[in-house]
Amino acid sequence: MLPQEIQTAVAEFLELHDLVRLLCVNRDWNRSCTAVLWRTLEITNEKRYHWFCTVHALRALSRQGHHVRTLRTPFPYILTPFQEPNVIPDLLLTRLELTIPLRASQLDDTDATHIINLVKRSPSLQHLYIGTIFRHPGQLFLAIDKHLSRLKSLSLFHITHADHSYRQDHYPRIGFRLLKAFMDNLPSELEFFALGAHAFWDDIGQESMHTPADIGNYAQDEADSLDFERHFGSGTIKQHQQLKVFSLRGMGGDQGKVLPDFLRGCPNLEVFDNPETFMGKSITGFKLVQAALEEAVGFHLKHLIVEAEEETEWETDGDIAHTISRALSSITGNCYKEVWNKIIIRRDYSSSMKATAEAIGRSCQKDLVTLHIKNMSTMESTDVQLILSQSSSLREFTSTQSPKLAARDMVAKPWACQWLTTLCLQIGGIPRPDLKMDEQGQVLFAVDRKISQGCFLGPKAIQRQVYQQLGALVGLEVLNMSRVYREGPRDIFPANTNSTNSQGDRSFNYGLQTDCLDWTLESGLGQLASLKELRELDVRLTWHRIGVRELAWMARELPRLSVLKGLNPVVDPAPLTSDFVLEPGTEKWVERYNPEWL
Amino acid sequence: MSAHSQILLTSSEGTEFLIDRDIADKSMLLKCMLEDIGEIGQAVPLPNVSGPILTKVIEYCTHHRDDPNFLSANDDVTADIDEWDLEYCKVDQGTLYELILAANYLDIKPLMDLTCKTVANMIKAKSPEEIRKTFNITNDFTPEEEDQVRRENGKDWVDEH
Repeated sequence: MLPQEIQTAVAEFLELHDLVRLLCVNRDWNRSCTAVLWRTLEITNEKRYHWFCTVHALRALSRQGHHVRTLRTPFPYILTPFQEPNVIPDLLLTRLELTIPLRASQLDDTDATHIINLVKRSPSLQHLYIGTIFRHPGQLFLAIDKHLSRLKSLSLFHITHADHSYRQDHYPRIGFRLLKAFMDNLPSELEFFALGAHAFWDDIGQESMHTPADIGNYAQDEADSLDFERHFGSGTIKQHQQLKVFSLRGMGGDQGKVLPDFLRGCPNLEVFDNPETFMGKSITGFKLVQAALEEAVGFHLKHLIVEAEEETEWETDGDIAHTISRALSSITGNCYKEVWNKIIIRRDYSSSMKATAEAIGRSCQKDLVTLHIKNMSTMESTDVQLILSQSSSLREFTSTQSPKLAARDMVAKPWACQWLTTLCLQIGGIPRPDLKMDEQGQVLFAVDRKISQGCFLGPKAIQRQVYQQLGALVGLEVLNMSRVYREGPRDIFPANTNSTNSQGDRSFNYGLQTDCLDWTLESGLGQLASLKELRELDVRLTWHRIGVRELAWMARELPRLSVLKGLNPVVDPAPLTSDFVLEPGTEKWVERYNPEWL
Repeated sequence: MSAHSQILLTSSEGTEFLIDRDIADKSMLLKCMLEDIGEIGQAVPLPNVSGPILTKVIEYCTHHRDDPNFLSANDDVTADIDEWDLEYCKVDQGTLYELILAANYLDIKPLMDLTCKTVANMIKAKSPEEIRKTFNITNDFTPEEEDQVRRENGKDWVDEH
């Protein structure tokens, strides 16, 4: 028989449905598994919700509730037994997540009280996530500041574009005095703080946009802020030495009234994710916020995150370009040196990105290390080239939809970013003498499909230059040259060599890109032999250019290559017609050698 | 401290094992002990580990001698066990249990995780009765207890796959 601690260690490796069977085996295993089973409680679906509303659940909770450390649920009502000391007297939560961002009107007052009660009786909490919006958050704020002295991460009402329920007016409106009191007295061990809030200012009531309910809420918030004063004394500001990440959404207005004192107490801040500070969105306190940041952290922030969704007056291409230039120029001539290691633009562009690309190319020649733009597919080839030929520190160049770079633009100027480790790029615009096209660029017919055998004299010269430029990136670890969308002319191949249609023509499949690189040794693939760090290569929708020799070459010359995406249509389903085949012999070779890196 | 120094271990029945220091360092117990008191030149007695089991433990540590990810090797709960490790764990249940106890005592986390994972794999997708048979366990619940256990611990709220 194994000792209990070892049984517990075994149970850690089991999933819930195995655990519930194991704990029926005997008393010994039951003891060991129960703690593991209950430690993380996720009441995330209807079935569990209904069970946890039963009397059986209440009995089980009173017996097992003390095991629960993590509680995750979208249903505020389910917290009822947890906040009740008579049901679970020895509750010891370390993580609480109320996952659904409900609107304030959807949160029942009783449930709101229960959440506050639960916070009050959980001083061991280290992580608190509340997506549900409170109509009067004052008492919740006070409970957090008073009781959760061990809190490490806190996220309140922080809804971003990534959440499907996001709406711009979603953030709760909170009086600025209450917000300030809450932030100034946050638990001092905090490392991560995210808040979505729209502040009410003193001009409440003067603007017609404020409803009587708004005015009532503001009065309540003002009253609650006095509770902070009563408890903490007036004008107290805690230091937050541990705070690394601060993300703020929706505040707008005069941030100078809320943020500076708090920011001054955060000398180790690394990420200040507050798009509005940088966007010129009528933020009168911008200079105050900036001064506080400079005082606290010398403005050596590592990340700039621009998140924007729809095109609005301050989220156009020009505005983002302005933001990038302005955040940089606002500190020029000053002793502080800007260190931007990262720019993330989560905006889904459908329009031009010319200004943004130019601003990056112009302003980020030295310090930009990571550039991620959600959708770069609309970026002009010349602008992509501008960034790559200017930003010398760039290590990661990524996008969910890679930009297109024409081979002729690429070889026109060497890249500055010689230390790239991750590159997502569609290199195209390579002329194909083996294809006859009509005036619209549609493929009329293929001359020969013997591409991988090197039988045609193609645009080899330009490809060799492209490969040479890629081969210079000796630190490259991930090279993603896949195509997500099939655009422009495509290669065509006989669907089945024996089949002809009624007119006696051979039928063709249309699928893969024509203007991409050949992955052939004749075209210069061999120059990638210098990429000894390469671990991942993505060739989706261009894999028809790879033959047996190339696979063998890769296996031999690229020792760290462990992932080759797109070659196996079963593992990496590319949008292909079903009867498409690999280059002759490739499949057999793969089967025979079963290379580990596939 | 020479990189090539060797350590003498004594198993429960008194057999002596001479191993390289870097092999011994895979065990947090030995590592801390050697760092604290230094190499005293005497055999370190391991009264909780038998000779055959110690041989097996040394085999594991030697195989993973130059493994850079040694400490985080089995962190991923869902990851598959690699081939050598799989073969290594093909032992009878008694030996497996003793290996777990030795790994626990010597504090060799990757071996502990590997062996526990092996036991977990023997439990997966089995009914309680099958588990009892596999591990030769007698059901010591009264029917009422068993009923209560089933009711309170997830039969109704854990989603069956």
